[in-house]
Amino acid sequence: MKWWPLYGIKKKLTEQTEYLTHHTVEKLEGNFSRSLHIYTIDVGNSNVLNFDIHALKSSQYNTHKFGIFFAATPRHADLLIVLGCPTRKMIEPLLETVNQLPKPYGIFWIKGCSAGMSLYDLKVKNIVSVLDGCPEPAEILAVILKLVKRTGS
Amino acid sequence: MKRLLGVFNRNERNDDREFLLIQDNNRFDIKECSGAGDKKKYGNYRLIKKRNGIIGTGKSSGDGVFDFRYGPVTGGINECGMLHLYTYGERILSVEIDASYKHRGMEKRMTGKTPEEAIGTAEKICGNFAVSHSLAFSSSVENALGIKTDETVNRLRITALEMERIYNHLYVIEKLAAAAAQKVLSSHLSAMFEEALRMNKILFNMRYIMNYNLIGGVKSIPGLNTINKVLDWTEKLSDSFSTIYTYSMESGNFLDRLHLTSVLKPETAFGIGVTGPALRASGAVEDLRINNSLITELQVQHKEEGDSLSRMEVRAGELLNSLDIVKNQLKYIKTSHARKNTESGNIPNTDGKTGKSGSGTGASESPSGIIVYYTEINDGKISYVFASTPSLFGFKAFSETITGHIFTDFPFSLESFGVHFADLAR
Repeated sequence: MKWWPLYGIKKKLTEQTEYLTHHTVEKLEGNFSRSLHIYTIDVGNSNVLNFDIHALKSSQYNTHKFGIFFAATPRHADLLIVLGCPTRKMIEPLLETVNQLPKPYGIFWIKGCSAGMSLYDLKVKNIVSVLDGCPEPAEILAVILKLVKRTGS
Repeated sequence: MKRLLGVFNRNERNDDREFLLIQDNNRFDIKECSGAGDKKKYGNYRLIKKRNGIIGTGKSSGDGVFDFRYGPVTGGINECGMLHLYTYGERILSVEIDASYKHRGMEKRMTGKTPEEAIGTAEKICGNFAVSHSLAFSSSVENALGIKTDETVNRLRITALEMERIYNHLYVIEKLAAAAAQKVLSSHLSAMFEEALRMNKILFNMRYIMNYNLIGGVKSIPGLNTINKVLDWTEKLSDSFSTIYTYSMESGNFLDRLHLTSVLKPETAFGIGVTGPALRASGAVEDLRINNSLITELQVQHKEEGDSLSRMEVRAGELLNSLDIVKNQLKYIKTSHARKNTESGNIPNTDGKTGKSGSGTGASESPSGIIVYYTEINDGKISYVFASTPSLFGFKAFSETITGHIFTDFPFSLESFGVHFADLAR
């Protein structure tokens, strides 16, 4: 039997495509074109966005080759991805998470499919991009790459 | 054996009667609560009654006991739920789970809507169980109004449910592998997970199979090319998953983390009301799909030990079985295509019954247990809806079984139950 950690070593799972979007984005302060650390926060979405972010970490997208990493704490993050519209009880934790981000930072809001508060009503600053509904991982990645002025491939 | 799955009152004026939703094999009955006798008979009455509050094994106090608050914003759990882990040193003494951060009042949002509008809300309770929720809700409405569905629709619904099971089981096994730092296994599983979601998109037009199941039918019948593509994929996934899974079962590092972690005894499982893979891993051979005559390929997976490893083994077995089910259902649809020589869509047939009144229950076997809906319809509008979700019982079982373990066992215990805060909080 083969030494199993070698299983699939020849499989080329990473996709060699360009991730492009027509979506407009605001300017993200600072230069993150070679390295961007992301923290995601769920504020009450239906779990679809959580699963899509999980899918974005799969081998097909291979975000590491773009220098995109997922941080374990907002204090290590350059970009905060807010998943969903905040429920009443998540407003305070969300504002505190934003407060913990080191400057310069950007906020990428994906609204999701369930109703809730607006981030604009909460006066959250530095919102660099807003997506409606539940976009696919390729669309999310395209927006992130556009924010750091890259196109992928 | 009877199992209590729901407790509700309609919150109407001058009506403080309480009703119980009871499962008796594949029958789901609504019964008025007779008082102390019923409350004593069903040990999980209090758990279900207080499901919107804090659930778990209660507070622990004393010298050196620390309340470790995990959530709602952590790197470890994707969702915004809160866990209070009462620890003495490393040992977990008890757990309290607070899902109120994710509470969206979904059942309330469904009332006042027509069933056709409300089915979309039911799907959004927990996006990764969209088909299970939608199927349970639609069958409760169909039972209430006496709507019948044809065999092709039923087979497509089975296919959608099994496709959902496949990606959810891949997700759970991948989470367990990642927690044990099994990078090779988890990377391959994540690729399979993404591939499964893409197949959903090809077959049902949505990665999470939303807006597909309708009252009295399904949105469309997949074309022949699509079916062939998915059939090829089932063969490939079956091969690649079995290969890597067989390899992983020889990795002592991995198995040691799961073996004898969070042992759920059958009597505890029955007492709490646990269903799905967690119950089957504790020795019970119970599955709602057994009674479905259209699923001839079903092999109910079960194990005896009741630990995290057994739960993972049950899920892996179910995943391969689900692939077989999908394959056979699609082959049937393929032959029915050949018979009718058409690729046109299917129009839901409700026989003009949607404007009527009635009440009914409907259930489905979700990837983590049974989902049941009780729906009351008044002149075509929903006047009351109650959803019983498996994550309530799963979280309670988690809190019972993690006691006595240390914090490093936490992900192996929680993920093995396949529970979600979205499903619990609604």
